Parts: sequence; C-alpha cells; structure tokens
Amino acid sequence: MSVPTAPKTVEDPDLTPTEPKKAKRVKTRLTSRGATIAAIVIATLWTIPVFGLAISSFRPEREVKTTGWWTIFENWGWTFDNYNTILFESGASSASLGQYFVNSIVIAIPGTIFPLVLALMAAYAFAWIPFKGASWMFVAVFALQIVPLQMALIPLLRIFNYDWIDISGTFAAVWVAHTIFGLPLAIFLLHNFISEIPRDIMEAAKVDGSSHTQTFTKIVLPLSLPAIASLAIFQFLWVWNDLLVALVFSGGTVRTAPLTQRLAEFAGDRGSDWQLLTAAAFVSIIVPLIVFFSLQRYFVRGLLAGSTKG
Amino acid sequence: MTVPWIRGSLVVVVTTITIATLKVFDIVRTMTGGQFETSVVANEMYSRAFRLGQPSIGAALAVVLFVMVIPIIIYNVRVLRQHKEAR
Amino acid sequence: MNRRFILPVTALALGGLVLAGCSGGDDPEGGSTSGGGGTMAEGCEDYADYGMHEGETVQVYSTIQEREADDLVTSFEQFEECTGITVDYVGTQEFETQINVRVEAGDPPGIAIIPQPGLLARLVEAGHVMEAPDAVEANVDEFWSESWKGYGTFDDVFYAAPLMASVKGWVWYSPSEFAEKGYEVPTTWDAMMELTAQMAADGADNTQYRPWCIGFESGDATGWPGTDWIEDIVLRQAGPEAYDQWVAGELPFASPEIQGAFDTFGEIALNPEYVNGGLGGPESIISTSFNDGGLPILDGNCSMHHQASFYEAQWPEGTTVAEDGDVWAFITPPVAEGDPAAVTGGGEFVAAFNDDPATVALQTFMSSDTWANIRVSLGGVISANQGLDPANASSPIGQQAVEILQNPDTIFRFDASDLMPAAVGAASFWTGMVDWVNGTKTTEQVTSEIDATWP
Repeated sequence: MSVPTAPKTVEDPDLTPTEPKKAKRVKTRLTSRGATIAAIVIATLWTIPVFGLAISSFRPEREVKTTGWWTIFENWGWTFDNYNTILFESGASSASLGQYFVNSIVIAIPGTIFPLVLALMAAYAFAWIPFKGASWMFVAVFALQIVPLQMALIPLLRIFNYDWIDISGTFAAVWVAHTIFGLPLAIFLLHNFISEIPRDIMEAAKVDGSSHTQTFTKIVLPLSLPAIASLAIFQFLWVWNDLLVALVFSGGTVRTAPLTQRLAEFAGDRGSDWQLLTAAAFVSIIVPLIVFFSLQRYFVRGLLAGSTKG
Repeated sequence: MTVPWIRGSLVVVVTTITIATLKVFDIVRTMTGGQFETSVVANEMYSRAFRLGQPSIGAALAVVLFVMVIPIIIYNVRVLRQHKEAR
Repeated sequence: MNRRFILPVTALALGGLVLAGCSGGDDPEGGSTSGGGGTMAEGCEDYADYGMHEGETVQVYSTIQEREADDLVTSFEQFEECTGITVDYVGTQEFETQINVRVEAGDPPGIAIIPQPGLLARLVEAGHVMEAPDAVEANVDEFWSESWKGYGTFDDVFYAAPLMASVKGWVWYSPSEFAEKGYEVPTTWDAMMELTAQMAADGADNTQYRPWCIGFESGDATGWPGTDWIEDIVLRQAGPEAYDQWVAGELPFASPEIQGAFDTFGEIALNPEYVNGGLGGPESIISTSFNDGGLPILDGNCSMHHQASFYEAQWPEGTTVAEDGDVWAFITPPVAEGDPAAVTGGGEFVAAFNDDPATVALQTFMSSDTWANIRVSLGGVISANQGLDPANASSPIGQQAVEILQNPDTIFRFDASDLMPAAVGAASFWTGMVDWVNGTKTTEQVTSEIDATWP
C-alpha cells in the first residue's frame, strides 16, 4: 500500500484545531456517571428476555408450559432434552439440523458479498464519477428503500420462472433476491461514507495519473473498510435471520431451506411443541454472535465514521 | 454542541430507522397478527394482499406507505444538495 | 488491517466447509432410488393401477409439519417404491400466504393440501386448480359422502378430493371426576346448562374453580376457538339449512339466528360464575392459549372444555385419554332430545396444479381407501373416507370420530369460518369474537361489524 493510510490528518485546516476539544467534551459527557448508569440499566433491560430464554431452553417441557422462567428456584429442574431434540432428531420429512445450517451458510455468505461488492462500486460511481443524471439516479435508488419487499415477491418470482432464467427454487434465486433487496440501503450508506473521503486525496490520486479502477482499489477500498465491515454485519444478520425471502425463493425443500425455516417448523402443527423454540433460538444465534464479535470493533468505528460531518 | 457535530450521522440513522420502522411487519405479525388494534400499514398490506385475497387493497396500502416516506426523501435530497455544494 | 478483517470471514467459511463435510453423508430423503427397473416390486399389487413413472418428481405443499408431516411422508413410501415417483414434501406454517404467492407467480407445487375450502375456492376462481381426473372423482364418489364432495365442487365441476378430517365440538371432561361427583354426561343443551349450574354450586368453596375453561389465544389467529363455539351452536339451534345460508352469506351475522347463538354462548363465556376455571375470570379467555385451555381439568379447577378432537395431542404425556381414563370427551349435545346428531368438523383438500401423469397418480392414490388406511394406521389423524376401518384409528377418541363421520345419519357441516371468505372467516370473525368475549362490544355491535366486512 503506497497510498497514505492516515487520511484524517489532511482534513480541512480550519476544522482541525477545534476537533480534539470537541471530541474531549463529548468523551467526558459520555463517560459521566449518569450516562454509565443509564447505559447499564438499558443493557440489563434488554438482556433480561434473552436471559429468560436461555433459562427456559434448559427447562423440562412440563415446567416451561406451566410456569415462568423466573420461578426457576421454586420449580427446580434442568434438562438437555430440548437441545437433544432439535440437534439430533430428524424425521421422514426433514433432515438433521446440520443440513439446514449448511444451507443457511451457503445462502448468507454470497447473500452478503454480492450486494456489498455491487454497492461499493455503485457508491463510488455516485460519489466520484460525475455523469449525467447522477443525482436523480441516486434519489431513485434511495427511494427504492421504501418499496416494501413483500410487494416485490410475486413479480420477482415470476421473473425467476421465465424459461430462459428458470432459477426459482435454487440458491441462486435466493442470492439474487437478497442482493436486490439489500442494494438500496447498502448504496445509500456506503455513498455517505465514500463521499466523505477528502477531495484532496482523490485529486492527488488523479494528478498522479491513477485511473478510476486504481483509485477505487487502492484508496477507496482501504479507507472504507470500517463502513464495509459494519454493513457486512448488517447484511449478514439480515440474511441469516430472514425467513420470508428464503421461503418464497428457495422453494422450501430440504436441499435449499435455511435454518430459520426449520426453526419455524419445530413448534409443530398447532404450536404444541413450542418449548423447542427456546433451544432452537440459541442454536441459531451462535453464528451471528461469532460474526458480530469478530467484526465488532469495525462495527462501532464504522457506525461513528458513517458520516461524521453533515 | 454535540448534536450539530454529529448531525450527519443523525440524519443517516434517523432516515434508515424511520424507513425500516415504517416497513415493519414481521414483529406485528408474529406478536398479535394485527389484532387488538395493533395493526400497522405494512402488516395490513401483507395480510390483505396475500392472506385475505384482496391484492388491490394491498397495493393501495403500499402506495400509502410510499407517500408517507416522501417527506423523508425530500429532506434527504436537500441535505445531499447542500453537501454537494459545500464540497 | 486487511488481514485482521479477512481472518474471521475465512474462519467462518472454513467452519461452513467443515459442517458441509459432516452432513454431506446423510441424504435426508434416505435415498430416492426405486427398486427394480420397471418390474413390479414385492407387495405392489395395490399400486399396479398407478403405473410406472420412473424418475418423476411431484412436489406436495401443505401446512402439515413435524410429526404429522413425517407420518404423511411415510404413508407415501410404498407408493414411491412401486411407482418410481419421488414425492418432494414441503410443509410450512406460512402455507396460506405462500400458496397465493407461488400460484400467482407461476411457480405452483404439483399438489397442495389445502385446509380451507374458502382458500380452495379462491384458487379455483383464479383458474389455477386442475379439474379432478376421472379416477379421483370415481374414488370420491365411492368413498365419500355427498357433502364432502360438495366442498371440493365449484359450479358443478369437481376439483379437489378430501383428505383427512377432524371432528370439532367435543366437550372434554374428566370421567373420574364425573363418577366421583355423580355427574351424568348431558344429552341436551339444557341438561348441560343445568349440569353447569350444579357444578358451579358444588365447587363454590374452591375460589379457583369454575365449571368451564376456555382459551382463545392462538398467535395471529387468536379468537378461532370462539368461532367453533358459535358454529356448533348455530348448527344445533338454527339447523343445517340456516347454517348453509349463513356460510353462503345469505343469512347475515346480525340475524336473530346468529345473534341467538352468540347469546347462548354468552350464558357460559360471559358469566364470571362459569368461567374460567383456574385461569381467572372471563377476561382471561383471550390471554389463555388454546393449547393450555383444557389443562385445568387435570388440576380439578374446571370440569369441561370445548375443543376439537385434535386436542388429544395437547394433553401432557402420561394422560390417559379413554372413556374410563383421565380425560374423555362427549360431542356437544343437541338442543332437544332426539334431534339428529349434528357435528362440525374440518378437513383438508388435495388440489393439483398440473395434469402430469405422475401428479394424477399421486392425487388418485391420496383419494383412495388404501391411502386412508395406511395414513390413519400411522396414528394421530382420522379421515372421513368410508373405506377406512375405524379400528385403524390410533386412539379411542379417533375411533369414535371415525364412527361419527361414517354414520350416514350424522349431519356433518364443515367449519363455517373455513368456508367463509378469508376477510371474514380468517379475520373479522376472529377479531369479533375477541372483542365480544372481552366485553368491549355487544352482540349487536360485533355482528353488524362482521357483516360490514363481508366482501
């Protein structure tokens, strides 16, 4: 990497001296005792349901159905039955959980990478390549966020069923659908970030004779890593937790159905086995947790860096 | 003083969250299915279009949803313009 | 910086590969290879008529999941072996919306198992459902009653054969409690109300106790158990003709017949002395899930619970369901002694979306008595197929239900809310029941509001 990796030092000269002061003030305010306590209270409130879910997932069926998890001390009883059932049982109409797990990963990884790559390129073009109608196109992309994706299900599935496409019921259909639905937000957020890159750097690159491709790969890509990471987490979580899109486009067979669909089935025909859902939820949380914790430092930075200056 | 400093971030977050919230339907659908006077436009749209066999009403609700978001679009476009001019 | 970002992603991808390697071995369908190239395998005599369709796949789409889905798939096993057809089964809770999406988008399954005639009617109207092949119609003429065939017929054209059935309107009770306290199973509605009053008087010293327990909560379908009550009462009080008119939309909810049914139900459901045993007052009805609605019977906090035969599966493990066991059920009694036995019930219909020979073969098989006997023997469900041997039903209550369905004197009517347009039967009727039992709206208000939503 021959390009300077510390762009923040070349910021507007009239802003630079005031910034550290402001940052300091923000920092002191955010670390005040009141703020800390508030943060702890909010965090606790938000964690209690998850905690209850965790306890419930280890309780026997009868106990789960008749008493609340907070009475665990009066109704003592622990079991791994729920985990046993969801992890190792499979019937004539379903496979073992591993199959769905793999399906979910096969869906989620391209479902994250495709929209990210396309959105990065589009965002770069919108921000730094002047072309006719760019701003109107950007507004159009932005407005696309509003279209509820449920309204697009039937038309899109119809397109996938054209003889010369014919991909409905395959992974490809799910990838394409997730890419389409993810693009507007991804372009919007990345554009906000990429357009913040100081003009000086971009112009310096131009003067040095770098083409758009070079500028994109050598400057824009490394600089937007925090934004890419946070968006990757967003998109991954969304794809991983999605049920509706997969249900419609994967056809729902054992070969392509993701974990979420299997989880939805566990409760059984009339919801009589809902105690299994508690355990199932925890199994499905594992992967997003791994993704989040391994990328979280970028996540926080990316959120703050998204558009520091209005 | 803090608020103007992070105004850009605020606009982005408020825009994204507002749009996402207006479109919320899965939570409503799972929790109450829109009963007990908790239905929202997006949920009503989904159930009319797919569950109750009234796709035309569903489509109309989708348009209503779009109209509701137009002010946010206009605001964002203005911020974008100012930003472009300032650069 | 780059490396640190890429590492977790690679780790994740590797994890995926490892997992893929682990599960690659077990084919979920247990291998769909069929025995013998064209020659008939052992035990395939019953399947000779369906022909050989080597390599064909038919997708079956339905609401049925988990244990019942496993049994359904098992019931096709021999058929698959003998005909070479692979049955690709997909069951989802979202069936009722997804079938619309898939059909509209031109991606329908081969066969859909539809639990509501109302939904079937909509799909038929839109012109997507194939007319039933002759073989299916012949089977239905042979094995099903006129009324069942009627639910799959639209404008004199027969489209969909019935599959499984359930009998609604059972009143669950504890035989041992009845014996101990000297209660008799009531034979008329009035006798049931007298029994209720007597129970309330006997149980007055237990503050938790009420004669009835009722639970309406069922997620986004909250309120449906209430519609079952109203339907049972309408059928018994106003008679089958009025019931049919009501379903067709000719008799409005605001008519005296239907309002009368609400009032009759109100004598139980709105009376704090009669509900809701062990759970609270009448206001607890909507917050009690229908799964748990009958459980207080086991604790002795209530004595009667009105629910369909499938409630059998809701009793906790170790509960004996038998005439002399822990729980048993009687059919909601008629209004007057000697009235013909009338029951409401539900069922599923098999609609085909193409006429490939393999689809037709499977459709025909599903309408046969062979299938009904195989499936019912696997347990948990019953069918109204006349060729079904009641002894095959897995439980005493199932056997009794089959006998009721096969009895030519039984007046059978399909669950009204499943027959009505979805905007009423799957929306305003449910919410109406909730508002009504909550006491926020009167019978007049609720009934006229439901009428207003009739499309």
